[in-house]
Amino acid sequence: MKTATAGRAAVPAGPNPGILPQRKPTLWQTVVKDFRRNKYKYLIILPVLVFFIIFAYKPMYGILIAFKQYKPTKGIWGSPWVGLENFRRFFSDIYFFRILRNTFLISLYGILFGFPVPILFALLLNEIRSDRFKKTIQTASYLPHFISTVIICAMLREFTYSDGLINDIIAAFGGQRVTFLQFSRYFRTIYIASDIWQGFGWSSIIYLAALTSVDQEQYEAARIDGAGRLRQAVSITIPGILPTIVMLFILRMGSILGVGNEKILLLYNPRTYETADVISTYTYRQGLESMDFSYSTAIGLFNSLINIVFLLSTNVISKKYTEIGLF
Amino acid sequence: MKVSRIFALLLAALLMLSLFAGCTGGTSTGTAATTAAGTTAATTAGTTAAAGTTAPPETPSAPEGSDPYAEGSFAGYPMVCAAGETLSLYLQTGPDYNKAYTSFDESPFHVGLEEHLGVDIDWRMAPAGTDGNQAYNLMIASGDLTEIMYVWGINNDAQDFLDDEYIYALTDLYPVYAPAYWKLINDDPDKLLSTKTDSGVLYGFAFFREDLMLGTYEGPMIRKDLLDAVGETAPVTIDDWNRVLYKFQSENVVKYPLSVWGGNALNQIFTNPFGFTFGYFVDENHKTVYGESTEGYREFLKLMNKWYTDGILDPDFATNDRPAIQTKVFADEIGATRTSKGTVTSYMKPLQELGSPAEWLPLPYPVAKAGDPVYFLQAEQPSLGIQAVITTKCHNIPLAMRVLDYGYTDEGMIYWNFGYEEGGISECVDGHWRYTEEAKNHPDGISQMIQRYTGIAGNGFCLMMVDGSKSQNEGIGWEAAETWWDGADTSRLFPPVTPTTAEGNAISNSANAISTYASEMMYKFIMGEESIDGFDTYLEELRGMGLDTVLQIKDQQVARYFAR
Repeated sequence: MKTATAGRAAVPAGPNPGILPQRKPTLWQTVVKDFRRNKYKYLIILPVLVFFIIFAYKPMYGILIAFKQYKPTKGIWGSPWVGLENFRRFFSDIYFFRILRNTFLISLYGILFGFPVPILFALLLNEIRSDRFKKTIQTASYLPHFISTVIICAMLREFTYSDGLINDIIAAFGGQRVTFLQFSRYFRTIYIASDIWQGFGWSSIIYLAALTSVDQEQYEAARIDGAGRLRQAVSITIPGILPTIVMLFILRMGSILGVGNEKILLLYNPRTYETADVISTYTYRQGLESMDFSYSTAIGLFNSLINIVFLLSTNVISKKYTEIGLF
Repeated sequence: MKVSRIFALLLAALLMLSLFAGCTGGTSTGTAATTAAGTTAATTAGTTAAAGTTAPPETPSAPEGSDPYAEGSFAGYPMVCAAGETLSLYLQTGPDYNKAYTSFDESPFHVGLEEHLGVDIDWRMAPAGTDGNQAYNLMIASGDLTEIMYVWGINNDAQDFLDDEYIYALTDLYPVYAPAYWKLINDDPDKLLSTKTDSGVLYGFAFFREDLMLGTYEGPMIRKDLLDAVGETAPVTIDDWNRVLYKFQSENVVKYPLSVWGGNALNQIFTNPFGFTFGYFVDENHKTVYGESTEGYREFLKLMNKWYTDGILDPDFATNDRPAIQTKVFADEIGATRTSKGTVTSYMKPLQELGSPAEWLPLPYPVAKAGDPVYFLQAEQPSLGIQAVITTKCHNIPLAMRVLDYGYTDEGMIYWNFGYEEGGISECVDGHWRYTEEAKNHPDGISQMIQRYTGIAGNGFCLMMVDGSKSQNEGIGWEAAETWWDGADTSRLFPPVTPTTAEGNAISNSANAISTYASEMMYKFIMGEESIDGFDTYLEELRGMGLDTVLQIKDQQVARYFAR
């Protein structure tokens, strides 16, 4: 273990020569030291690093085309600058507010109803005594995750037809048959409910993993103090997995405008544009007319900026109230 | 432990090797960009020398003296070329092609085409699994063009490519080097107009169909057995249809007299009697009209609304998709629907196996009065916007033109449509070509056979022959196609104009908003959520979205088109 290297003022030896007060090492020194100690680990993540640099960072300069009128024949540098024209076009679109609203609402409702479900499921699963039962339920719960979107949408359409499964059930209870996917007011419910059904099992895995790290002794102590199961869950389990919950929440907020379009494209129709038409589907239809790279890049940039704003503010708020944050 | 150390190092090395997964080999079908560099290096030496031009993209002058490719001294196919003469050709194919073959060397058709032509062709296509459009754009952006490119949407970019000197204008060269194609487009003004640029320059070889009829492959069909049951004949006018469908209902012979897959299908079959079609079309004076703003549309909506409320039209029509319609057909639940010639052919066998009493009959598009022409039907323009163009990287333009002209010559088009004469999948009977019975009954299916041995699966730089389609769809499919084409007049369809970037920017937002609004409102009107009395407010709304500007700009585009 070396002490201060050359180039820094030597600190005079104190009464205990083995424990010298040292200045904090520079960043470079820390890196070099760490590298020497962990060379093989660095080697292993090198491909990943290179992947991110080539495919995630280098293409970022292409964001420039959001401010240009990109033509493939002219290339990125040759295309003329148009400043904020693409953004102006986007913001002044007649349906801008509607698609923005729909994107937000689908995302927010998805978080509101969909985020707690895996957590609750993990907590409940934790309470099960029988190991075999627990494992069966767990496996059954994440099977839907592996079904492709296309098949899920086909199933949903089948079930919601006026003579489909769901309507059969409703009719059996004396209700009236409704073709749900033809009405705007049902769209969000169907979309979010099926998302939750498909994803909660898979998402609960990480919470289950976090649960195992909660100290068992705390449970014992609580039991001795007379806490029931519910009390234990609220006071020990949840605070124990809170860091995981908060981090996943922040990440989720960071993709708030990222409502993907495959599922919506498969489920919507002009009858449900009112609630189902989101930014990506609206611009998809527009893109069918022209290959306007600049326009879609501008929209993508707008999406990313909003996402970052949400990500950072959620991070700040959570740090303030729970001292847990991503960065 | 020594062993685990070695293992760890091996693992690290393996992960490092994965870095090279992104590189492809130097095979003839590697990414167009990387391997194009190889051949263009060899051919750039010849580029400026031959053809006798330097910078300008204008028509290269025909070389002096005896020219083996010029009309008059041309010896026919297969051509005799210098040894090792190759042309690089980029072919934009669909994803299916990439699944069948990784390289054009495996495709019997393409190997045979080289033999028939007498020249080696270095075929390129986008690697399997990648987006053809992206690969094409990459190729353009990197400047590593092949000598010939056959791509979609070239019409829109052609003027830019000519200005930026990516491709050659060929207008004066056709009579000399491509007489078959030249004759073909001169015989038909529609073909000529649709392949020129707005400034009147010709630059490529477009995919054409021998008869426009081949572009109509969808239309209405009805249950003949139900017609007989209610004592009716095949409906011709819209009033006939109305009467027949109501009879289906009153005599309770079927669950849904009419069912379609999405609201646009109604457009396909029932707008013609009302004198409009969805989207933009032109009237007899070449003025642009927006279908969803016409008075005919109002009447159409009234009728559809009546059909919906009375239960004539399947209440699920907005959410039906193709499998849903298929299920309903097999369950004998519908009386009439819209279909395509491929689909109706595919229904025949399962219906037979199910023992269904259904007898489906394709019908011509309904008209307002018997004998009226059918202006508004599903049909395609003579040009689909795909052309083969010769880029400025080409080292031998006459040769390239002869290669491209082949598909339009009498012998060439037979090879393109039917493949090899011997050992192939086709035969010539009484002067007409068709596919053999073995080919049709092949376990892989006739479409696969066509894809392997001919160039006509989809499209290519050739003339698609009527006989081919007739043979492939023999039976009800072909009957259907002929019925639907009966009385058709495609002069009102919106021509394949070339919008400029400025025009595109000006109207793309309005056009999208208008189309979104119109689609939503159509369903609301039909399903009764909006009363048809609100139609005038709806028209006001459309105007407010900028419909007049859109129509104005489209008029400009149409005028330019017809002035070529």
